[in-house]
Amino acid sequence: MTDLDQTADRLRAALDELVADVPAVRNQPALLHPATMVIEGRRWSRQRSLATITVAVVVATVVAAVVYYGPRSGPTGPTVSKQAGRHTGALASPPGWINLPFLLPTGNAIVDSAMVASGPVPVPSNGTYEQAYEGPQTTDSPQLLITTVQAQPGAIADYAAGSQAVSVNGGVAYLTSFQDHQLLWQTPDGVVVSLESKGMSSSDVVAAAQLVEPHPSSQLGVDLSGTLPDGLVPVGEGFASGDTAQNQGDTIFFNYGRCHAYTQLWAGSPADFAAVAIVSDSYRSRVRQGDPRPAGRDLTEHLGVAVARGTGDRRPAPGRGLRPDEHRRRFEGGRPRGRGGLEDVLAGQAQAHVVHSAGSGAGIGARPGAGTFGLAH
Amino acid sequence: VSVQAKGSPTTIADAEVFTPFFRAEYTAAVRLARALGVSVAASEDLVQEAFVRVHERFFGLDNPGGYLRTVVVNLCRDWHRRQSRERRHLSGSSDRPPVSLDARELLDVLARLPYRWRAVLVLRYWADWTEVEIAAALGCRPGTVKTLAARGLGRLRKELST
Repeated sequence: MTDLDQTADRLRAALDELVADVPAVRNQPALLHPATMVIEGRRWSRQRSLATITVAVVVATVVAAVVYYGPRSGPTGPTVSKQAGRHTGALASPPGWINLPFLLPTGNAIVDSAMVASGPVPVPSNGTYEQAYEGPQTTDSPQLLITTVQAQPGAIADYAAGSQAVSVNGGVAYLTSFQDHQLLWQTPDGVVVSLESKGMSSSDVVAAAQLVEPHPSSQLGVDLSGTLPDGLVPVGEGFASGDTAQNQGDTIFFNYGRCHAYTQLWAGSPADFAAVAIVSDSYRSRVRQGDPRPAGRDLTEHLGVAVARGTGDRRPAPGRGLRPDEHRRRFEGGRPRGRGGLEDVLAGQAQAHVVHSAGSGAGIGARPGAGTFGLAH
Repeated sequence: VSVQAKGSPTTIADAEVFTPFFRAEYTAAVRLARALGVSVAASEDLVQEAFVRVHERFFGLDNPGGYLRTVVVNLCRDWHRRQSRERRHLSGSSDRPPVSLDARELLDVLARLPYRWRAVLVLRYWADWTEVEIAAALGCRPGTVKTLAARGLGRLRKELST
């Protein structure tokens, strides 16, 4: 065997190792089920951050291996506390997941398709849990996103180089040097806690970390033991499937700011598809749902006085999304006014959502229906 | 399978033909993207996009699997281009796969190669594509593929031996 042959063998072996972290195909069509959720609008301004991308990359491969597609169990989902500086995360399987990095584009909006189907939905019992906090300013508020995810030991070891080591509750945490600071540490039972900030000083981020009491890995989420700096108050929470970055199956129930919810599923009967749009600009996002036109070109939604229109070149169908733009699903429309919601009407029916005006209330409710409900990943 | 028109499958055809195709090809396509240096998450998204493109002309394709893989290869190229731009601002980011040190060393060298070199090496020696297939996917001549494969492998050997 020549040196080149040996190099080729080594190349094959390395690539085999590399692709070993690719999970098998997900989102089996028969496993999907209509969702029940109510999402109401609030305000949020945050751009998809480098730090978010980074932590997503770090944890995605780890979490993908541990996501469990088991039946739903536990309470009906997370609740949002309005108390400043005191927030308790969900303690059991929530009804959905968030896809935070992709939800917060720097552009005007995103739109994608969602699908509901009949049949039980296996809901992951693991994933990432995220809590969002925002300061009192109306624009450019300081923001903080706390993420917990179960990971293997040493999952954040790469952060040791190029980051500042700081002490958090007696443990070592890594503070990145990004302009928008990120602080990460791992608990003894494997939970990686990430604080991503925007508009906060590094010292305030570290101070916030001292207040965080991570839940055990079986529960994810955190408690806060005091008042966060910068007047940060909770504005939302959610649960994501194992892959926190964009992929073809992520589904969310989440709100903060002015509403985020996002679904992008590929499988199921074409009759089960419904379009979900997220309209957002720098300060707000909102969720819309409606039927794609038969011609499959446009998606027009009315919510209160706001009208949004998404233009797609194809109709949502299995294995595909409504993708008006090449890489980002741009959704153009009137500036949202009022608040809106997205609600399941009848379980088991293909057309599972309607858009409705949610009045003046703000907040989120993510309500699984009876039995095994939820949007599938 | 009922087909309304070439390239315009009905929903029945979607369910009966495209969905099984998706299932059969999805994981391999993601692994191909992964082997071409794309992160897991981006690979899944990228492959989804590839399926969208395949779906558009699914019933007009003689070899949809081959077309899918070609689209994946080219989407990976685009992804790397975007990454190279973003990387200027992402010096702190990290996408280090959990692999052995030996594999890490080789993958680091591979990652430093121009995309076309890397693609040729991955497709030729890992995916076992023919030179003709690789040439078609990359838009070059088979002779170029042969040259790039030899030079790329030589580069790997040289870098790994130093």
